[in-house]
Amino acid sequence: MTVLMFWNIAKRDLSKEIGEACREHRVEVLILAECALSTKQVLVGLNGDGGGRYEEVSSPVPSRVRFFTNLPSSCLLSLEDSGKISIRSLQPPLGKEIIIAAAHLSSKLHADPYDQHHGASMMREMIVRAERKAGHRHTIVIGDLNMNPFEAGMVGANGFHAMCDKNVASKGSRVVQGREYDFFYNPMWSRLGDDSGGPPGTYYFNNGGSLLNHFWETFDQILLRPELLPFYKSDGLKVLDRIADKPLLKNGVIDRSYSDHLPLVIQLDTERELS
Amino acid sequence: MTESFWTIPDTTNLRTPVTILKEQAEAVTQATNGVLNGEIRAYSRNSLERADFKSGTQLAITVPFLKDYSVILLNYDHNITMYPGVIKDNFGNNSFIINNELEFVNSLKDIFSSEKTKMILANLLSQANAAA
Repeated sequence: MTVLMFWNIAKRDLSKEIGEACREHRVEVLILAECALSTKQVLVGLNGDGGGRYEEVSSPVPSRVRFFTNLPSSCLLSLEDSGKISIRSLQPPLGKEIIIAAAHLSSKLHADPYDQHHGASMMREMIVRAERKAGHRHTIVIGDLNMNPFEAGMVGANGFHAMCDKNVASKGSRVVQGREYDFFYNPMWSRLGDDSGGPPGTYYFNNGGSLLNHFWETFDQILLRPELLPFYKSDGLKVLDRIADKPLLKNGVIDRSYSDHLPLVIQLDTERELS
Repeated sequence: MTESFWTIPDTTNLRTPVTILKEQAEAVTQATNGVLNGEIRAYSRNSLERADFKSGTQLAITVPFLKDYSVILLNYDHNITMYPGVIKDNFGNNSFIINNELEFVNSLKDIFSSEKTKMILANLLSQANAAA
């Protein structure tokens, strides 16, 4: 079982909570955004009593997302970076390679919807290039994309083209104006709202003065290529609202004494032979 | 003989942003004896996106000794007239509007001589040398 966790920790010292979550969910690859902690601080949380063997697998260049793993560091090979985006090849000792495209994309404070769409389009091109280089499409996108699943950059063919329906995504691609665009499946659609079986979103912001106020946003997302769907079960994706005995929500909203974002955990049964 | 009504501009000394980026890509490749490879990639912006700048060019550095690991240093978004455009420094997190060749060249000089870019090149060179 390959287990990945992503958390935008809002520059807080959450090393203890990160460690508890990784132990609780048996996380193999941890990806952090807005992490101002030193490697040592994170590793103290992760390896705590000395029983852990996590290490940071740094990107060769500065990146807004940082990778930690308890697998041999040689399992995480850097493929491409652009500051906000880091694409890695995960080659675990058991199971075949998957591509992890991690990102902390531009905030809505600094980018309008067109720029966000363009950012998604650029990331999509990086992913396609990495897939061509790797010779497969066992790809997962994970991170704080700063867009909701229903926004144009997420759904548009030249953005992530991420669908809410496995059947549609499993068609592989569609042709728009003579050009073929590959699909992603976006399981985060099923995590929207208070009937989702988890928290209503991953980020809460009461923009009280605005006519359009979602209150809950789902900016933190995980997308899967259809080729990974045989190794994914719906209950394998969790938006965590609790770490051990600590609730991450308070009075029904995110407790900002931790982060203003909730962590995501996904399990993929990629130890089975990938076709 | 048919009289031509055309006035064909003299483009002998015209250097487009793409030409300049290609020159700089070659320059970094030569300066590092091919340990780092400068690479130019063109992209287009779809009709769903804002129409200001419909095309783009990015400058990436690839590292053959690191299994062709690649870093996208900057993007330049432009339209068919090349200027104005927007240059985005991916690691400095800066964007600048570019109105002419001089501004483009000066922006490139600023980006290439920045501490962040120097650190990136140093990291890539040291890791490439270690892997060689």
